[in-house]
Amino acid sequence: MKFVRKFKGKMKNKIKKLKLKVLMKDRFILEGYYKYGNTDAGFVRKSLYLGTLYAADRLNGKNRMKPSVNERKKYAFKPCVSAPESSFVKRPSYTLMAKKFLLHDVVSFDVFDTLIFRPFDDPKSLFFLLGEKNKCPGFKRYRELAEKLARKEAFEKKGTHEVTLRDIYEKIQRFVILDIEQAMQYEIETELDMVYPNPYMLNVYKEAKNLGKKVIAVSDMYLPKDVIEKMLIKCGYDGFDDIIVSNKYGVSKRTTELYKKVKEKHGEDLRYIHIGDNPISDRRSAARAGFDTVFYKNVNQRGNPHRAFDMTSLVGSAYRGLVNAKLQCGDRKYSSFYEFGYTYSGFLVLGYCNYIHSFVKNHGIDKVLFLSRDGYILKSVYDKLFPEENTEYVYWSRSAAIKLTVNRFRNELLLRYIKYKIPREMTIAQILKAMDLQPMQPFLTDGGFDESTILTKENYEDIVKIFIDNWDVVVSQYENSSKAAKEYYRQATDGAKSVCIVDIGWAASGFSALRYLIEDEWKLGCKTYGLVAGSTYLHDMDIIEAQLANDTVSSYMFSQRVNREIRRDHNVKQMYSAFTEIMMSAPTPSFIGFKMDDNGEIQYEFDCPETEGYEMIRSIQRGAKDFIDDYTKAFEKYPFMMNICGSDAYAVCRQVISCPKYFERLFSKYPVNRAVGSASFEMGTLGELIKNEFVG
Amino acid sequence: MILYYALTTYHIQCCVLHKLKYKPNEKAVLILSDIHKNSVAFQKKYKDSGIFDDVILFGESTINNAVRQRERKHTPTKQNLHKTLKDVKQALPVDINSCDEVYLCPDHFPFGWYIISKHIKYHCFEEGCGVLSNNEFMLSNMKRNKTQYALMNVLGYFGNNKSCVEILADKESQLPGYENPKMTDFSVKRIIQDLSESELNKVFGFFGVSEKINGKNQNLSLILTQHMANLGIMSLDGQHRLYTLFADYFLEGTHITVKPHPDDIAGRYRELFGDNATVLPFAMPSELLPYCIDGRVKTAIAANSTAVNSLGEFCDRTICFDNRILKTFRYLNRYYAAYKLIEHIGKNGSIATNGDDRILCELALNDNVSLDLQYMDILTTDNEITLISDNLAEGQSVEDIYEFLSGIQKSAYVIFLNERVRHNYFDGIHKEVFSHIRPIFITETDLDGKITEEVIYLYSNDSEILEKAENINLTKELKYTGISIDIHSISRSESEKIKMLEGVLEATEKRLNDYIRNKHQLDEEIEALKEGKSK
Repeated sequence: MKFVRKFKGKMKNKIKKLKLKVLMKDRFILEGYYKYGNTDAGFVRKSLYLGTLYAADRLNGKNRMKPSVNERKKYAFKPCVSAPESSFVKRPSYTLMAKKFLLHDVVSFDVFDTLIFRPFDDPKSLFFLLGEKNKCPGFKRYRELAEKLARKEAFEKKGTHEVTLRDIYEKIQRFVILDIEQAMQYEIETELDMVYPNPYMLNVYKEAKNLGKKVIAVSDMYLPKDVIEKMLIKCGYDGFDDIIVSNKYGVSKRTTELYKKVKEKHGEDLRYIHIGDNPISDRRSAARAGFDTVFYKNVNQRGNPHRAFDMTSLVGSAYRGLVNAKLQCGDRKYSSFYEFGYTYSGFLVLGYCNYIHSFVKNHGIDKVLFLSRDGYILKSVYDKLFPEENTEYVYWSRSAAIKLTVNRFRNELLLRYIKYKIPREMTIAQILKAMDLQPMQPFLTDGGFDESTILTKENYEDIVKIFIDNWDVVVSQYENSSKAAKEYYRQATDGAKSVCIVDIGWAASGFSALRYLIEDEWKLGCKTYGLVAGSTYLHDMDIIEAQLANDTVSSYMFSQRVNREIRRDHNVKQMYSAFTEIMMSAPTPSFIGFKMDDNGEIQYEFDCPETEGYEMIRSIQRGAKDFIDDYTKAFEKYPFMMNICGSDAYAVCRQVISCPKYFERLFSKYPVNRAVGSASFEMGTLGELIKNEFVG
Repeated sequence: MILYYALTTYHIQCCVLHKLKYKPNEKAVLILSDIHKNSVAFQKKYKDSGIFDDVILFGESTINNAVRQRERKHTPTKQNLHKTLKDVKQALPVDINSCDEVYLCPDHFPFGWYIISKHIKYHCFEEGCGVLSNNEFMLSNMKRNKTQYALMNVLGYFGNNKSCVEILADKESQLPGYENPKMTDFSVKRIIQDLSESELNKVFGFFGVSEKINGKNQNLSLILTQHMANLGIMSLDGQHRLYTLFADYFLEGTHITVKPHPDDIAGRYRELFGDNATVLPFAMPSELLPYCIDGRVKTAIAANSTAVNSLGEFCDRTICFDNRILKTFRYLNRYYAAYKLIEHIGKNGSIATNGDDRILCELALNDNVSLDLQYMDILTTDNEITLISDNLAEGQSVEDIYEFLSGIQKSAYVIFLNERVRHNYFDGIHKEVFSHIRPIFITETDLDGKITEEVIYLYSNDSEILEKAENINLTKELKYTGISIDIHSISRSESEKIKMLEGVLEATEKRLNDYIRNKHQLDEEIEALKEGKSK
């Protein structure tokens, strides 16, 4: 049986390797397989499809560019769709660990990626920060090469690969001349800044201490023992009985020699248990040295297959490191919604808020207005990040905008309320009710369209003509609303000379309407700027071409001017925009419009609340805020890490919005008001929406 | 040679006491099952204590795992037993035939199966004090182990077989009228009482109790823990919070002594209660407690373990809740606020609740107040004060609550604990209730300054009562839980009005969600009916 299992495992690995080899042959195969292939098909179908692609590629001979590893990851690495990611993490419970410790005299821990984390998925990413401190471009590469050289030399001279930090920095002089003492100090300082405790291991460590066991830390590391001790103390591990570092003894865990030293030092007859993340040095070697072992699979190895990779190296590594540590450490399990917020929304919101901040600073803007409802979480995060700034969450919606701008954007009203309703076969009375324009009925009746007339393609133009001929009726009907809105925005702009209007996207219609009202119609004496997370509009790709050109509107992730390839990739028909909007949804009903009551007080009208979704949204927001807290805390001393570029933010979004299965499975019951803002309540679910509107 | 076999800490204690009391000069070997991890950990210590000539570990966990594995493969029980007996024979650490007497504690694990099947004469200890006549709870636990349960009648556990010559049990603790011809009196409690000081010290040494706790000059309290996290009933964090809340609400101003349950290995009580508290070894049986504490205990508390009741003789006050506490402890702040509110407003009549009445009683007893309190599933308007939990009785709905509120007397008042934020005082229709409602805020601030808020609601038709409630203002430091709570009602400020409106909105949302859920259910039912018709 054992032989069969082994054989099966070997065959599986071989097939995997062969598949990778074929996939990575060129872009034609890679894209053909992941982008256009059915990833849900069975093994045989998928193999046949891959074989066909391979054959086609051999025959065609074009597009032979070899893809990068990250390109493959972009397609192959998917979000965890079947259940919350953290629910798959099966770490031993604290009680089980305590029981294990009870049977041993000495509990030994690996240090890095076990007891403590660094906020990167690859510890070498920390060298980027050192490169900045040493003012040395390419430092990361030099540092890696120097370590390699130092280890090689140590092996040749002493027969061991163990080196000290000084050995490494002496070798770095081969590439760049640095003040060794200072450079070493930078590295130690940065390492100390970065480390934070693994919450799961902190509890495990406390269990060992509680049982009165001897607790030691054993690490294969080039940093001096006192630095590691400081790191551990900083992370709350202040009671280690011993810390054993490989560079002091010149032997490593991998070769089992360091474990032998541990036994020599603490007693051969004692019972030892070792916990660590490396399958070789912490599991195999420890077992060979007579230690019982608990393998704590590396959080990054577990988490990375679900992370976005098409990102800048430094920020990407930080993002992945933090998310992996949170979801994979085993400390607790989270809901899908919380994980969605932590993994995707948080990164987008943090990046966007920092983008807004730099835009505000660069343009000397007095006040930031966050439009409802997408601005709800943005405003709350922005205020926390930049408490000194003047901001306000303002009520706005497309339906309010249409009614308030009838003096200018006539076609919007006619399109949204009349033309787009043709397929629904609505009566004139129903349409007028939705538009709040019942006084138009006599004019329509005179034109031959009574209350029961059904709107059709054929009678559309005639109806529109009657509307245009009696436009003054339309305008006067919305006059009260306009008066209230004017007063509301007068108070909101509050004497500011310039305001920035923030929305999620996509055609900047909210900004365009408000700009006209504030600057032209209401003449509030305030210049307006608009910010959107992304700019794309299915019906007119150039809708805000001039505004983008003169910098009145700026887009964070993509537009015709920035990251055009992302814009091409952003598939509106596959609901990319709808899925992105979920990241910033708010637990409040949609705003419909303003009204002024008889006492001159402003009244607000809201749509029916989608209460079934509020708990989900609150969870998403909690997750997003926690991510932002963790990220800002981790890089408190490195504020440039907050500069998350739009393409990085989009890479993270893209990973999830390009995976409809994720929303189908985890968000299928998420409520969607199909007639949002039109005062005709028609509740559906995201699952239904995907079924009906997703163009695959 | 005498052979003792023991599984749990209680069983080991029985063997130790039996050896000291009845076989002090005879050669004896104690076989410990390795199913109980404490035995594995402390085997050497037990051996070093010198009570037994040898203490041997028996690899029963591997045998037990093999039983389970065969169980999963649907091996017939008899075949499973046969194979298990073979395994036991192979693993036996001593030659049983060379033993003069065999004492089993218990006889329903593989070692016992072997002894019974091979018709070896043995003596059997009862599973726990009084369990011989009352073993329902134990049997319900045993049901989880299919083979073990199936073999119960085949082999005749608990000494009900021909091989068992004697059952050692506490006669006084059996159910009234219980008779068993094989039963011989064996009372752990009385044997310990009769032990000489040197014998007692031997027992203390065996279980790792190094020194006596001086309770004479100290205001001593005792927490008897249970291993909820180990049983998967709650998380370890939850278990810690349960006991810190107990300490904060019921053991204020005392020197805390913690006696962890023998299986509560993970509980970190030294960390929770600091160096001023005493944490006793978890491997020590609780029967020894009266002898390792010099003096009296002011209050002894346990969640739902009746073990605390047996300590009554040396404790001034014992607190033991029931199963409900495993859920309701999270709302202790709400119960405390409710009790303080009652105290603040004053009471003349009786109190009724559908919540955890035990908590309320014990909170009152802290102040030496005895409440005229009764638990009732279905609420009636006869009482002056009613405390309503969100856990409504089956069939009772929010509409019933409205009816109940409409019927209460003018001088009466109702407190809604609102634990699950159900806002049961509002049925979504009768907005007028809000004019009779006052929210009582419980603001919790932790050590990092993080603030969380809980709200309970007071309902009354009497404006004086409402006014009194508005004036409540008190704080309490929960030292061990690491939070301070501030209990206050509304003022007339705008922000408080907003909070009130938030409550209304929250309540409306909940109602709306209920309606939506009901609608979905009805839609599904209609759909199912339609499908049924079309077929």
